[in-house]
Amino acid sequence: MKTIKINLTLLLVLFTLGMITTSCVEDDDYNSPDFLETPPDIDQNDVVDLSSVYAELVQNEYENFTFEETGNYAVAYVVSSDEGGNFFKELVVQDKPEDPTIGIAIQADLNPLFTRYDFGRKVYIKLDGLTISQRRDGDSEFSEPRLGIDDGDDVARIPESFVEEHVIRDIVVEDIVPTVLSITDLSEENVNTYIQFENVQYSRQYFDFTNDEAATYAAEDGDDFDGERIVESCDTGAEIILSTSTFSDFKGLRLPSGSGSINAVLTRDFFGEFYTVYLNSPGNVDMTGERCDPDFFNCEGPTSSTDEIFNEDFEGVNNLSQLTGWVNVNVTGGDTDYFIGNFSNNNYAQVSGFNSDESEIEAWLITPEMNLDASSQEQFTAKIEAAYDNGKSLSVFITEAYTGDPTTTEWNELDLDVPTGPANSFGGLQNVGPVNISCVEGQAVRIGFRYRGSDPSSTTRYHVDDVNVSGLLD
Amino acid sequence: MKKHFIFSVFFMFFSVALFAQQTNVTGKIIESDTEEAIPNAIISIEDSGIEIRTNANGEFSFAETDLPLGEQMLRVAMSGYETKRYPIIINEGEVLDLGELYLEVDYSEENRQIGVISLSEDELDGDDATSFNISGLLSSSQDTYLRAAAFDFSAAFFNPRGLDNANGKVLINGIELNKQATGRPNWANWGGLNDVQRNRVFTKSTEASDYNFGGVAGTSNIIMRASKYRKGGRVSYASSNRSYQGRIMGGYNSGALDGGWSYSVLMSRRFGEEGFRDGTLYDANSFFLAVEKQISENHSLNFTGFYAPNRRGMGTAVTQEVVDMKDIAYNPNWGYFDGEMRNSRIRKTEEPVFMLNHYWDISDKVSLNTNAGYQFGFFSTTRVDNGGTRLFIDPNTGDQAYLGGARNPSPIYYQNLPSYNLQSPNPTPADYQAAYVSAQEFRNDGQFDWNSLYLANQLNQNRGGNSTYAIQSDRVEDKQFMANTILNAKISDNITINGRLNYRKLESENFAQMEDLLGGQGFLDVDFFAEETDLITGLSEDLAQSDRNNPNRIVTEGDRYKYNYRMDAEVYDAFGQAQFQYSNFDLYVGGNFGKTKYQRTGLFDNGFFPGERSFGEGEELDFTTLGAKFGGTYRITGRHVLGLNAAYMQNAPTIRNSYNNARQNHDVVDGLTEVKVQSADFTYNYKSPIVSGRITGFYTGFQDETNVGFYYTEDLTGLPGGNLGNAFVQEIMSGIDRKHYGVEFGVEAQVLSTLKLKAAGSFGHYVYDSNPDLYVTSQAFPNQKISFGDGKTDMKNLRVPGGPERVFQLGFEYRDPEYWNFGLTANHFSNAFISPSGILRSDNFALDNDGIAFPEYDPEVAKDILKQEKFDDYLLFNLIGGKSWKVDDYFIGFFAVINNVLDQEYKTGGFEQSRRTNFRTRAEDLNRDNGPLFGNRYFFGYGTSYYISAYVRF
Repeated sequence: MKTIKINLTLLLVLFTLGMITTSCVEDDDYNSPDFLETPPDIDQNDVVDLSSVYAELVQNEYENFTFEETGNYAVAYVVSSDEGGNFFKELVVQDKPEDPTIGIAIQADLNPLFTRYDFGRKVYIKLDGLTISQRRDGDSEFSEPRLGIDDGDDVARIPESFVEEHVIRDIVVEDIVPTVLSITDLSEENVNTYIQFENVQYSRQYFDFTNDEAATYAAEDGDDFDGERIVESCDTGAEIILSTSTFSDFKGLRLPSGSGSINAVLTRDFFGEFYTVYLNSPGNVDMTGERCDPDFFNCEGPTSSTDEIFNEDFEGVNNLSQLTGWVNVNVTGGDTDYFIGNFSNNNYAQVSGFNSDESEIEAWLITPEMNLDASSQEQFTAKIEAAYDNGKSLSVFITEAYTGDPTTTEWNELDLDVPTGPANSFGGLQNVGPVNISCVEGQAVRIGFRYRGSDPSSTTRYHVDDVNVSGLLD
Repeated sequence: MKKHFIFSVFFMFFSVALFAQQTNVTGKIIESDTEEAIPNAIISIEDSGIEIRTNANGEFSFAETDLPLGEQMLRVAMSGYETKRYPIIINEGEVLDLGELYLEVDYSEENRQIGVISLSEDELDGDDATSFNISGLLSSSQDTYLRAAAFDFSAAFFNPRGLDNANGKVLINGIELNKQATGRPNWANWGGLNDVQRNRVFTKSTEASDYNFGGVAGTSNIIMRASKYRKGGRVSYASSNRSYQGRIMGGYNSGALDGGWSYSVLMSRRFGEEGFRDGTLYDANSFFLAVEKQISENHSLNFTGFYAPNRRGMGTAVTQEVVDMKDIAYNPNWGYFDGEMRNSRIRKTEEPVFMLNHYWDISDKVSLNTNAGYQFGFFSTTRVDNGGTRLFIDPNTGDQAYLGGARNPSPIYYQNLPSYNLQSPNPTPADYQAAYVSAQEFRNDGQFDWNSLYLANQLNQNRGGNSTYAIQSDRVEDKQFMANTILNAKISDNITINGRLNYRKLESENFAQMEDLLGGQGFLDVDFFAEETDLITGLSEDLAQSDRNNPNRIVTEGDRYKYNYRMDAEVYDAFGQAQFQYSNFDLYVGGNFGKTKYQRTGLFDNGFFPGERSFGEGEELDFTTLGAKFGGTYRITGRHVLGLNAAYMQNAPTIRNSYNNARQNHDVVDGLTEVKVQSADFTYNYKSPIVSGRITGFYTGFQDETNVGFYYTEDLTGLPGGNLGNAFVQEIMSGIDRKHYGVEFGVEAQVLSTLKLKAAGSFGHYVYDSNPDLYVTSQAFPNQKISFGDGKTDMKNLRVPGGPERVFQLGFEYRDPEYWNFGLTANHFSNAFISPSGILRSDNFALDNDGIAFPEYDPEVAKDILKQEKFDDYLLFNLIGGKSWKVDDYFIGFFAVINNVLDQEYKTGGFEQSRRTNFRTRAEDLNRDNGPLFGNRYFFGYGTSYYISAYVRF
């Protein structure tokens, strides 16, 4: 048995050896690394304001400007988040956590970004090698600053492997305080910043209140790339589009039907034509309040176009004052009012606040009195064209008792969709209505077109034509 | 050091005893090193069909046998030893006593172990490609050609006759260990136990096996009985740069002890930070114990148990673009973490096997072997889950959404590569800059970025702490019971009957398991991609649930998630065979009858396939299989022997190829039926004292195979709702027929007593023989199976992938009497083809999203795009050498192998990506000036690699 003993000894030695060598291979129990956070080592003398980045663009007459050998870093705060997939390879930063004066959209070929550049994160942007540009809006000088790699007229995304080098994280994460703005009061400085609209709601066209149904953020037929949803102000009725990517995680959520506030990133649409806002998360919407829809006129029953009761096509005159019974008045004391316009041998009533230098405009165009007592099943139609659209400014009302002053008259808003138009050209005359007004009675019924605007932010031009009321004469 | 007389093959024995009345040949077989008797060695008179074994004392006698007279060739063979052949003259009425015959330990046995290592160890990523390790089957063969296949051709993933190892059966002590899920044996289960796997009985193709009906690629029975091991111990150390860096192994066999006991123990450890492929760690321990008790003269009971926990880092297939920037050893799966290499894809196998074997010699002629075995444990592969989200409940509406998720963090994700930046036909300067930068980045780093994953999860702490990234494993927990009884009855001098009754029962749980939250607090178990689905109605919050019984569940490490189902399988079969042996011919005829049943039970109620489609018991699948075979050998003369084997068999489809997507639902593959296989081969053997060899013509046909593949595609036509065609799909092909035919040969010449020249090769043609039916399923359209045009895919006459069709070897072995040897082989490989995509060759290829053909469709151009890639030819040189010494009672040996001496770069396989799969997109992708985004992905063979080993035996 001696040999066996020896052999067993050998085996033991072997076993020991084996156990020693066991340590040769990493096991698979890994601990999370400690993230010992050290702020980046950047000389504060090299740090510049984000506004100075934009200043270079202005100085370069809005042509691309590439930073070279400045050694500078711009300090900024992250206000976008792609956690919900609503931003894609774009990091929006602003110059201060509160009351920002400038925001820039950094184009970065990295996805996702939120796993590194979280909301409120302070970052230093290494400028050398980057190009400041703007999203073009035709020939206008309106700018939405974008930072990236020079790519002709535009900028391309910073290559993935350069993103970390150019966008350097600090250890600080600030609370970003959204700037409270009104929809009618947006300006270039607000673009690419985190803003708040108070007392707003989604347009009622997205809801079917009787069946408790609502449209989604971006999962409706016809939503390509972005779902565009109109948000309207309860205070002014002004509208702005909320855009949601069809790739977002919340595209299928239903729009909240109440009213309240929205925190979002203000930007321009893809073509740079109009203002729009993007949500970081649907959690930034607080619309649990009551809706604030105006008391729309809600007549029921059949309507008819058999007999014409009233019609005005504005032909044959070159001044509105030549028309009898019409009221054309600016109630805010400015000069902006309606006048006869003509295109292709067609006359219409035209209004626009563009270049008026009036920050508050309310102008009314009111029809002559109509007698609706001798008829039934009345309906209203018109043609409206929107041009150079930068937000809805026109509403249509009806009254049975005009006081002679639109501001003291009791108006009922007609439930109709005022057409929207392109930002840089004409949308063409669109049919509006028919709107059922069969429950309006009286011999002195008037219809009023109210234009509310503000130069330069809300100056959409409208053409009104073929104002018509019809019904069945008794 | 003792020297033994080396018998020359030309040495002639003459009779030394003339007084006997009976014709006989006797002798004793002794190991040359230890001078110990070798029991159970096979002694045969060549070409006579006569074969006996030595007894426990190493002695043999042909007393009862009717010996052929005159000049004959006596052959002495024993697994683990060099085979010897002795020319003898048998005279009538005389006893020829050969005295002591010495057998030398076969050095190439060590080499043989390497053959097993290089393949069974290098099993490739099961998700990407088939695994190949057939050499394990072959390494027990003495056949020149099959040995070339096992040791030299295997590095190129060559499969003899183009058959993958699901076509061969691996038995241990008579118990089949091929997996039900794939049909393939998992060699990792007994890896590292090389010293106890030396006793093997290998049956080629459909030749008669004593144990089972077998597959068309043969049967290998590894005999792990305690009493069958040569007494003694062995300790060895090996070093390599292939899969592991070091292996230490030690074992001891008791031989026969008092009271009829014997035992064998073995332990080994294999380890390495990385093999040839970067970042492929290796961590494996192996334990083996066998104990046998000879209860009485006729009964013996054996216990064998082995446990080989194995953990390995995986590599993956890459595109040419990636290899051009890196090298063939590149592996995107690993990255540095905390200063160490960490691989994101780790495969673990821990499936111990225990068995009891009863051997009963009912009489001299009849024996019954009854076996029962049990295997349990798990098999898992990890990967990164980048779909971590958090539950958002809209305070305004109560609607739910899952926010988060991230892109695939793999460094070879197509958007990280220069080709992505340069995909435009007219790249801008910025594109070139981005491409340059990404190429630089990829060259300089290009590894997995662990820290960014942890960082992301850490930033989630203030958003509820769910992980965005995590490590999941796809885990299979099998419990398998196996039992059989094998009869061997020699009912007359010429007739032997074999029979077997066999039963297997498998209970297999398959699920994803959360392995590592990477610093997060939990992981939301919903399908991140449900949001992407707009083809079906329903709220994503319902669809996204992996288990509707536990919606929006947060899982932590160790929890099951994503999918969870049980698969039960039962197999019964009966096998019978008769073998007839006569002086100049042998015949056999055999048959098999079997039943196979599969039953899926869903343990999760899947959101896309709610209720009965995923949860609870599904339909039971039932297959009946029949098999028949016959064959024989005919000895024209002693030198010229002809052989023929023919078989027809039916096999149950594997579990993997029976379900559309067992992870999500019960749905069974359309057209699922038993696979039909025909096999025939015809062999001419030639043997002379100097030259021996064979040449075989073979044919194997398969019908009605099914195949299930998974991929993401952008180009499906016929999707409902005018969808753009993106979906993650299962591609199901049925009615796949193929035929494999060709010629294989091996010849060797002992030109000097020390020098052997050899040549071997195979020239095959493996083609698909049908246009299979093809349809796709997906959670994106759970109620539909989408097929295209005529519902077929044009695979006919495409090559079946799986290694080179043509291989050729020339080599020599020099064996010096001073106990050293040296060998060199040159191996040429050609006609290897890429694995073809099915959907690419369906009508989907020609159709735009609206189901109408592309206006610019051009059959000539299409032909060009669809041409199956043929890999370049290459030549590999392999060197082997070794030496052994005897020091006192110890035998010390050393040997070394260098493979691919010239560091030839070569592709062992690959596949077409199915992401851009129509005429327009594929053509556009393949013709990009700066390379395709979704080019073919390749597996590369090792460059120059070595394996050295030293051992001590006592």
